[in-house]
Amino acid sequence: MNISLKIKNKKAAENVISSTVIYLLIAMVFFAGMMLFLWNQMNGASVWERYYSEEITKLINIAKPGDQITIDIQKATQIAKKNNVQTFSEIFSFDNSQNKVCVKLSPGKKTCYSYFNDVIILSPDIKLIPENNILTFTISEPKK
Amino acid sequence: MKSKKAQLGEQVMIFPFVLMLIVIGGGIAAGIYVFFSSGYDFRKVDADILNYKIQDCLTTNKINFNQDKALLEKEFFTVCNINQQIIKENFIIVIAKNSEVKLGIESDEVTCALSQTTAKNNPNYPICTTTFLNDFRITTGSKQQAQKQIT
Repeated sequence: MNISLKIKNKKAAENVISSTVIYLLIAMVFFAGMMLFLWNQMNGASVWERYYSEEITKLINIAKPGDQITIDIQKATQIAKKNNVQTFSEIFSFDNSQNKVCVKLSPGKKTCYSYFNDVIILSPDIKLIPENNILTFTISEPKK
Repeated sequence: MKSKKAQLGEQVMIFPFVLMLIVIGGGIAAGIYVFFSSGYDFRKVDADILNYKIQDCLTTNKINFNQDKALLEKEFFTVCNINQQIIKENFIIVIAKNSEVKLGIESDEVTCALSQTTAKNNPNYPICTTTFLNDFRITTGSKQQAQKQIT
């Protein structure tokens, strides 16, 4: 009688522990996922991608052939480095055939914006200067 | 001793728990999305720059607005150095001379008017700018949104 009561108590305790462990595991996975999501958002990669693509597009739209443009990209390089973007040359890309500027500050995705000024972008180059990384490119007439 | 029915009840309790997590997670995600996604709308700036570029072009160049519409379009986009393809996709240009629409589609001006009233907060509608230059009424609009691409 005493032994059977002990066995039953042990089984009940195991049941309580196992269900608690399952609940805890689900909660942990959930909070880990939320933290990851929050971290990515606070890092602001997508907001900064939009910011840089749209600001560069604005510059291109008001530029004239022959202009050389230099912009401060310190913030972009900091975010890209934090997000393990392989090389800095990947951050800014210019598609002259589709008149598009694309900015990539996190692996796996990029944000693009189109410019209506009928020009092409030549020799985009990132210069890494301490505290002030810059991007330079030249505006040119499209090849007819 | 716990009955089998009681154990079943305990297992079923996991659904409200997961549902609660989904509601909390969804709430946080929605809040963050609303906070970070709004407030950086570039359509008005695009429309203003395009309008300025056209004004500058009409001031410095002489374009024959009395020719055939197709020829006028070709001349306008070449002389003003504006990419016609990009304009067709995401922008609006309507140029009227002495109140007669010479370039662009008249109904686009209605779309612009709508976007300033009923569809003010609709991101799919263009945001427009209208200016007057001598005999010209220049209306430009942009409905361009940043595009996310998977790499």
